[in-house]
Amino acid sequence: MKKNKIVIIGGGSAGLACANALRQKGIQDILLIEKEDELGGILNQCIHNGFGLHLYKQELTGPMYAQRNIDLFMQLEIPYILNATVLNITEDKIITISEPEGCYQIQAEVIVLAMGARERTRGNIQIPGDRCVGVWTAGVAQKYLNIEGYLVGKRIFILGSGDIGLIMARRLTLARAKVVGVAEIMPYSNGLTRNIVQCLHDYDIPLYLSTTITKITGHNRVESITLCQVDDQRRPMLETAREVEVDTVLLSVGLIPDNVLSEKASVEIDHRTKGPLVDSQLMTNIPGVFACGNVLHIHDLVDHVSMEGMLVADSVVSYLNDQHFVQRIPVEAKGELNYVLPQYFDTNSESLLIKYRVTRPKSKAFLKISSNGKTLVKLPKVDLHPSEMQTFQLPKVFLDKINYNLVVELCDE
Amino acid sequence: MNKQVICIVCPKGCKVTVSKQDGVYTTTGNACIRGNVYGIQEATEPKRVLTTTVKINGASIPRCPVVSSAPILKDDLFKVISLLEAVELTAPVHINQVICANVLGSGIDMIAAKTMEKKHDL
Repeated sequence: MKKNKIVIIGGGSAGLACANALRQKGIQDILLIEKEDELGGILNQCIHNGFGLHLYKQELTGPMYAQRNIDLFMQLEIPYILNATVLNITEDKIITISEPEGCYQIQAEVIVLAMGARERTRGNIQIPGDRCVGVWTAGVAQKYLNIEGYLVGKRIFILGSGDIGLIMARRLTLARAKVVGVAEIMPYSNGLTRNIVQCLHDYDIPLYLSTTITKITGHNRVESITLCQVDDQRRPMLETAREVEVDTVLLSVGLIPDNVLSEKASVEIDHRTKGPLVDSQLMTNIPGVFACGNVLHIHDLVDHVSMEGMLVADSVVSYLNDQHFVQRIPVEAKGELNYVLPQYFDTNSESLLIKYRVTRPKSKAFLKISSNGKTLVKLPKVDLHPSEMQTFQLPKVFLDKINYNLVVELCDE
Repeated sequence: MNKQVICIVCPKGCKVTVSKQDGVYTTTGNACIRGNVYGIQEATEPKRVLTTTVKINGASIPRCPVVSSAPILKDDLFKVISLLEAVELTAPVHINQVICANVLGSGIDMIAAKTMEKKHDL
């Protein structure tokens, strides 16, 4: 069987950043596997700008951000395979791969999961009505338009105010389609403020909050949708129903980490993040299997994805140097937190970067970090929003004080 | 003159009111100085970076992403889109290559955002 020290699954921003960082640390035996016919992942279709502000201190478009990483990858001469599908991975780190040269297995010493995410579909949110043509996820419509040059419709309604939906509202308008409106079931938008302003307000596209689509109607093609306001329990209020004529519906209703492969290898999944449960080295429950990027948890900024890839590179080097991560202390989320990452702190870690998301918008709150009943840190926080991931680097002086458990809590006072 | 602007400099999203009195612009509602600068720019001369795609022949995909070298006046965005609809490129194209120079005499170029090699025949 073919052997590789490190196999990275996925050639998007997480996989590329991890591969580049590993090679720069002197690791020679790396193989990166990509399913598409080019590297760069989802960035290739995200032609808008605003990427790289944290990492490169400038605003790049998605393809430009990808190109930087790809150019470095090529310069470092890291081996890779395109058009390659990983069919299976096992607990013993045997990877089954199907690619143009054939179907074979690779025994890896380390596997880095960097497969990204999938979009939630109409099936996931169960919109009743006809099963007609013209219902797309926003990312698929984005790929068709930006890569293939194919416009999915002329009169379009967008469900969900996530950033991809907002970006597509502007993109479709510039491509001369009519975007009739955007509906969001929550009472607040799920997208960044700059996208609300620059994608909707700029083009007078209305955003309907606490509103959802209760029915899609059409014989062959979408002909209309039924919009309904929802109450505070998110139940449609039928007396508010109104029909809107459109030929296309785009869904921007969230992303799910793509862990079909991870689960085959018995990687444990967090029901909150929908990604692997990891320790502070971003290692899963399977020793030598690491995760970074959207497969681990959904990010709002690609810069954070790249940084996570680099962090995994550090961890992989420690792992290969035979540093055994023995004691894992659980990290718990409390209060109005959607999730906290990592889910474990391993006591050999030299740093701990905590990532978290709030469950609802908060103008003021305190982040409290405690261990075994003792408060380590309490920080005031302002303007927290579910759509913006927060990070906190726990100062090194506190790492020795962690024992039994670590509780990350968002409290009002 | 009174104009409402939502500041996008940071996630806070201040609602900034921009007023003009005796030729001087002032802002209220902004929590910091950055909101003042942004608010006045946005109320007087809003600009946006334009990204779109143009047709390309001979590459592995039919569209090439392009970006403006600097922010363009918001009112000019669709005029530039119209210009670009008539552009047809031939591979290879290199990143940062000028695709459409000095659009509408603004001094701003539309540049390629991706290197696109010529597709090799199989």
